Amino acid sequence: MAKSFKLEAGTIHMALVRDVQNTEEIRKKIQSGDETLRACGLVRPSLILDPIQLVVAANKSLLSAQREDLTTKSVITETLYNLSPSKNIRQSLVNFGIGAGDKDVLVFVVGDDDDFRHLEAARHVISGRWVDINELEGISDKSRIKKMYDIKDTESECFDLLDSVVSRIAVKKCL
Amino acid sequence: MVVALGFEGSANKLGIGVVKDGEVLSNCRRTHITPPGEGFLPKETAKHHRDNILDLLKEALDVAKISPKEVDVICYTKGPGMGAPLVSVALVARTVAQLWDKPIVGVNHCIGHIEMGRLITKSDNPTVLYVSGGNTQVIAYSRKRYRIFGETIDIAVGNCLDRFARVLNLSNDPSPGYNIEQLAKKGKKYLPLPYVVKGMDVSFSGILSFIEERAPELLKNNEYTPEDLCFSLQETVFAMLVETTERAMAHCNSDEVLLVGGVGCNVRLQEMMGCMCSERGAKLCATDERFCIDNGAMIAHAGALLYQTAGPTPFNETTITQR
Amino acid sequence: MSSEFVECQRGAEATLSRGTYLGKRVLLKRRPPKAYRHPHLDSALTKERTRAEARALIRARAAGVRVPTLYLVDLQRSSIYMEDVDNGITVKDYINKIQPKTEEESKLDSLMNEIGICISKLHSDGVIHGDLTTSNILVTPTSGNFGKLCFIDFGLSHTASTIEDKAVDLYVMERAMESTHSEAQRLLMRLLAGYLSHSGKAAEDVFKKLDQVRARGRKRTMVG
Repeated sequence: MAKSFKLEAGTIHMALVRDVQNTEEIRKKIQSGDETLRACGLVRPSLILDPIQLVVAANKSLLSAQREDLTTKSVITETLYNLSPSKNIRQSLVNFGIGAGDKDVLVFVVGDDDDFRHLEAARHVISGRWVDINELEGISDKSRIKKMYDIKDTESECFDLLDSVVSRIAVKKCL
Repeated sequence: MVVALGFEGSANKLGIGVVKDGEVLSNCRRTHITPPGEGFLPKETAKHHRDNILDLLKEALDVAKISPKEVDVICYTKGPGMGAPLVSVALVARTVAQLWDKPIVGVNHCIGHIEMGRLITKSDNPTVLYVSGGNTQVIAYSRKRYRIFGETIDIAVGNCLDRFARVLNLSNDPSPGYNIEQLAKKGKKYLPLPYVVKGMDVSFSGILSFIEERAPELLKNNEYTPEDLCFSLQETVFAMLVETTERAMAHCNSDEVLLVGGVGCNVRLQEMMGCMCSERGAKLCATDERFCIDNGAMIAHAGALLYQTAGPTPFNETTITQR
Repeated sequence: MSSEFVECQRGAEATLSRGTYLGKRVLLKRRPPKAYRHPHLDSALTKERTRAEARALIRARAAGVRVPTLYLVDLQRSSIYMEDVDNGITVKDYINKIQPKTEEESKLDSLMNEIGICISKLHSDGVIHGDLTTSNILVTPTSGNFGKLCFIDFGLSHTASTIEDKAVDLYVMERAMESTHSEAQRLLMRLLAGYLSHSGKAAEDVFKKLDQVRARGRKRTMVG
């Protein structure tokens, strides 16, 4: 179910979990620095159109980490920040991280091939249906994404929404 | 065999030269030099040319060891340039042509520079950067003729340097640009200036007003020396010229650059252009001040070529044009 | 990973390489340092152009003009990883390959019209391309048609809304076309017609300015 993607300087592993029962518990565990979940990032899948969106954000984070040029605390938070069009870190984490009521969660680990084990370990903590990543398509909320990234009709009527979103993530911190 | 006598006087240099089948027999010149802080004006420049032209003509013939009888064609600069100086020189050329009963050819000043550059450097099909007080053009051969690929959209690069020389009150002897170049060699601190490249075109007026406005203050505070400012100005404007030249080369797959015009003898510009060329595996062809700066031999040479291919200019068309 | 990239074009300013990045077929555009330039100037220019290009690519897309999708903009390496447009060829090559009296030739007018509309869209949203040439616009030809337009090479672009900037942008295009295409004047007329059809009244002012810019190019005096 989980899927891995090559980044320039590593690998990202991700999995989609639906009907999550213990979102609140997971959030608390993350905040308290839980051993199992420490390597994992949790994204709100309704804001993700396709794995490439997360891949582009994570790739950028890992490069920043290598250069000791992270804007946020970790590669995980940096990836959430890179996903967000906002410059405000807190706001970005709130928007793209999972909230108390969320039933769907996109879990990811950024590192090397070996780090897949962290995703495996997370299975024991996140209780829900671990489904095929392709189900993202049915979850993503296009109108919210458009609003989030400030994509107007002139653009969305002509071009693929995913391309618009990915391009914006690619230029983050460069403008 | 063609012996050509060339007259040039489109700006503040008066030049007369004799060229025999691509061999320069003489190339004499007088320059109208104005006091520091002043540019040259049409009226005074024309007077300078009138006052000197007959002596210079005699000198050119003497050096070449040629008598009027042996001259085959009279060549003069038709334009572009300043109206009054052009007229005063054309008038003498026309008179001599009639007096000695010789055919006459009007020559485009830019073509004079290019053809002379090609002759001296033996370059075949170069991308040409023509830079002087009145012109800034990137010229390349495309679709069977010389085409202007890029040029300044306002003032010429030489004009920009000359006018800055006036701000610093530098001497106009031998030329303001030469004195800027000498100061720039001692400059160290780089002042970022506007860098204006639009496609293959360049613009210098914004840079000039930027540095003109700030120079007095920067010099007073001892933040920058005049040397630093000359250095910064040269580094910026020359980088723009090299860049647009490189763009034209990439566009026409050319691997030769010919640098002509008065600013073309600036050693720093030659150095930067040479550096770009070696990075691309191209060749730089540059000439020295004898041929870079406006001169009579280039008009004689280009005129001779024109005479051999297209014949003389009908006498009633031996006019001048400022553009 | 970058070692798998194969250089496909060395321009004056940047090199283009093809390869795979993040699982996508991409073009890598890199601006190598220029030794002839003062190092301060070089790094400032390189950074500024990479940034200008990134910014313009986002703005052009927002204006409804197709541009390559971006996958990474890296100021530190002066690199942009972007979509390698499928079947994309430059308008310059496309025009040069057209055979007389074919369907492609008859569509040339509408291609130029379309280009004019796109430039107008950019200008309406304040995007000045800065280096418009037929080499900087791609088409994706399919049987008899030129397909979709895609604008590239925004390295000299800037954001501006003055008539002067727009006129100069068109002038750059005009000059580039004159030096590459034999039918430049006719093609240009179609382009300007397209521009007019989209910009409406605003185009008239731009065209008036364009006349002035043209004249300026030809009547410089050398009087200091």
